[in-house]
Amino acid sequence: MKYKMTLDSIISSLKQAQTIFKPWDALVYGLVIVIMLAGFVNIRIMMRTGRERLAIIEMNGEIIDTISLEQNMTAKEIRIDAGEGSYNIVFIGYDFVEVLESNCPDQVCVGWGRIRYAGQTIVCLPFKIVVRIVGQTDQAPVDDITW
Amino acid sequence: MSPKKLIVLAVIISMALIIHYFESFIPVPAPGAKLGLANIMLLITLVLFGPSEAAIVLLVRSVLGSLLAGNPWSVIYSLSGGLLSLIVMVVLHKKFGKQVSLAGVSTLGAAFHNIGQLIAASIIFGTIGIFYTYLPVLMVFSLFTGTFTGIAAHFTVGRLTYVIGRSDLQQNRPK
Repeated sequence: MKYKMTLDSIISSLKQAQTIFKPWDALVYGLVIVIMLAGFVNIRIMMRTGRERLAIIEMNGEIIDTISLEQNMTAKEIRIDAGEGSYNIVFIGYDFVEVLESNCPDQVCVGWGRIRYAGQTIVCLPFKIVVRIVGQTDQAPVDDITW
Repeated sequence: MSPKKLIVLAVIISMALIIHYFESFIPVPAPGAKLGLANIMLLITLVLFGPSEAAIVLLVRSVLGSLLAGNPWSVIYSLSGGLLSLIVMVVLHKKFGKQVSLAGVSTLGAAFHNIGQLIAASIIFGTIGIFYTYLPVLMVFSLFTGTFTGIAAHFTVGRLTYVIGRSDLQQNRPK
């Protein structure tokens, strides 16, 4: 009896779903899923072509530091001054990068966690600082990926 | 604009503001992703009144919301995502309102909200890198949040139509 009731409720909710959704919704969802898959495939390709991983620290669109993660056997901290007393402390581990400390208002970059693969980024919106990892290729280490 | 419509819009904006404010306390699994619950109010305005009223709600909500919770920078992100998303939603709802449900409209709106925000972030940061590394993650979220807000708006519109009264509402809406 109880089983039948849940079955009925499932059927009725499915019937309700029929009144909510309309035929062309499939096209909309398909479009979003295609954009999503294309993005993931793009990241996969970038990760595969990259031989050596580089951590790039950018502020206001300018590269201020580039550290190779493969050769970085000793961990170090890098302090980035964004002017007017604002700062970020970026920790470069032996195969990962994280933002240890920042005096930005939202603290999103500190809570971001560690990144270690090509294509991953940490963004600090208030100070316009981007830390990202790229896979280095033979000819053009940076321009190849940043276009 | 009739006084009744003015009051209803004011109530909708204040509800959107409150939702926007409390939404900032809800933890999200990825930085930059949002539930976008305030979009429910925008969708309701779009369906019940029309594009120009929805634009008013969006502008006032973005500016006041950024002053209420967040820093002045977030106005740019909020507006760039919101305007692109609104344009997409208006076109989809007006042109294909018979074939595409509110959940579909809301999902594409959420996707383009994220695209707009990432375009703004790419321009401000001066790098294309954050656009294509972060886009797929945000697309996954917009699928779920967009569907949820669309279904919520679908049920709210059905009930609000009786509360507000048909005389004040937009004529010939697709349904």
